[in-house]
Amino acid sequence: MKRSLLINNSSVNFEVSTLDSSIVEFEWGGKKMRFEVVERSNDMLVLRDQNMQQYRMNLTSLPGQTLFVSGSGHDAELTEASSMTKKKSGAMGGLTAPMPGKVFKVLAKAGEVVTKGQTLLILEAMKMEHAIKADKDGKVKKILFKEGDLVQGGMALAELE
Amino acid sequence: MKIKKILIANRGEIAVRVIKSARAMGIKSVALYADDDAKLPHVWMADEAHGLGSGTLKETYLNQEKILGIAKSSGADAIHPGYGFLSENSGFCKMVEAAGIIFIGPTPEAIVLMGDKIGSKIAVEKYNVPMIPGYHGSNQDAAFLSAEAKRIGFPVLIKASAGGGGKGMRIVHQASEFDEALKGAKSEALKAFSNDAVLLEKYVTEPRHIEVQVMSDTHGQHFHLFERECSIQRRYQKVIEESPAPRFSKETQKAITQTAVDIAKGINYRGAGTVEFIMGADEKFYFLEMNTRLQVEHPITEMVTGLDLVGLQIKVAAGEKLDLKQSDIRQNGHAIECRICAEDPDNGFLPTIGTIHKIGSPTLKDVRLDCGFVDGSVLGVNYDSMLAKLITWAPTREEAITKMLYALDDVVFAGIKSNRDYLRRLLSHKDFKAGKTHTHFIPDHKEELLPTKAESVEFAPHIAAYLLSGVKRVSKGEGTVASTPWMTLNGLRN
Repeated sequence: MKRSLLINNSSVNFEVSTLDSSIVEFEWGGKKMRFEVVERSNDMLVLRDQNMQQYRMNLTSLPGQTLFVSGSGHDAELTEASSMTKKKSGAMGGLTAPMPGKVFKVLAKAGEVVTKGQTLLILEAMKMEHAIKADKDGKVKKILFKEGDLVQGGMALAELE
Repeated sequence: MKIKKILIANRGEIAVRVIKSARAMGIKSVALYADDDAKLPHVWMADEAHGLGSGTLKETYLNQEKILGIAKSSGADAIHPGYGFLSENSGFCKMVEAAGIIFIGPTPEAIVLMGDKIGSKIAVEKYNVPMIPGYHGSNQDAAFLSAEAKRIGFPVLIKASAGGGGKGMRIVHQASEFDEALKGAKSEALKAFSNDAVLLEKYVTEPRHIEVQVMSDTHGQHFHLFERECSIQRRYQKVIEESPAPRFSKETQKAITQTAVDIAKGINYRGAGTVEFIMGADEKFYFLEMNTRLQVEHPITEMVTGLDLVGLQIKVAAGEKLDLKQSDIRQNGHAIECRICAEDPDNGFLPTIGTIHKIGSPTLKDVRLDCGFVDGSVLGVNYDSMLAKLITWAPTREEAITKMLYALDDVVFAGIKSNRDYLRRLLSHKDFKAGKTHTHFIPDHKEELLPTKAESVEFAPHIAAYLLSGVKRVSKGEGTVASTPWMTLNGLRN
């Protein structure tokens, strides 16, 4: 199965041939990759490749369907490439967090009809408030965070339809 | 006088650090916390903790009256200010001493003297301290300063005399650029320090930041605990520090440590201090400034000397005569410190925030992690971005670097983008390994320090881990976190 992922916001494409709870095989950049699960606990996974090299990986689920994987000398945020298209369109519409911060106030709710320029939520970052405004007339499909949530820069905060 | 209870006017890792030394000496500790820090380990590790409420730093960790009030009511007989915050505030120091409480630090006079970049230079000049050619006077007339810059010879550095952290600083390469740079530096200095006085200095090319740790008691003893090199800096913020300094002759070490002791003796210093020098490729060194507090990077000195600097500070504050001899203080092996920060080097070093889901522990011998957070700590945007200090010790520099690369892998900050990978790239750079350190290392090697591309085979295990965790099946929550990645993997198994 062809798959596309974002690693630290850069996209990579590969084809998965085997995937079960103990083995994963995929072809990437003309190379066949094979990893077998050696050990796992709550948030740790030890993998072994075809050359018997072992990798100790630490896994953490983050908001926005992102998996934070740390190990083998690299920290990486991985997410489905499709969710990035959403992120991108959000970015164009300005419904993303301009920088890391805290959701200070949510002023609109799902289903609410809003007009262009209406403030949907207020983000508090670097001791300043940033209004996240509707980029068009429409209906709020979803507000993705609640008051007090911490968000990373670039994360989509709301969806309009 | 015996100290029985210490109030720590600080937060995070340095508060934890002070608690540990106090505990080892049988001294009780009192912690302070702003509301948003209520769950940090420095709070629950202490014997007693008091809230400072919420609001700006002025209302919390810089609230002198409130802090002194808590010290009095809790019966603390001493205050340790840590670094930053009130550590170099002479007014606070005076206030504390006037209340009959011991300030664990230098005298207010020493803080005032060394806090003034112009005044401190004039003060130490008489102890035969090498000074960088420059102008440190009070004449701030633009035409006069321009003439002085020509006398010193370009390149010339303009610095705010009350400054720090690179604010109000300009490098001028030729006379024609001087006037505009002066204007910029002055307006920046005025904004940052409410004081637009500047000083001029000869700009040293390929400069190294070498500092000497001093420790003085109140019985006329002044010791040095050798040097630290802190040349790996980004925007004047230290990133990697080490002791001893690489490429450093024994003669230079002898001269620079003696100079630091001469200064401490000359100004009759008390407690822990750091004399900072700038050193050129010719190993000629010049006095920069003296920091009248415990430094962030003090652990590397502790690792090579085997001494507890906070413990020594407390003894000095209690009026004890230190049971030390200069000839007994040795610099054994090599220690390196990395500052792990919540910032994303691949995204303009922007600060990162969120929940620290898990903090890894060092597994190798002689590795020390100084950290003010625990699993589950929430990282906001209100404080410094430093997550922890990771320190390794080994018999040689090469081994200390190797050990640090492993230790960085051990000390995961799961869920928070940090500069760990960037630190690895710095440590693995051939020029760093060769000890070719200088303060322009990071900008000079910018291209070679870029992140590994996502297409790199090095990310294959990450992809495998992602696929195996079945993260795609995590339900689309309202930004909530799935409890563990294996919840979904278990689903795969069924």
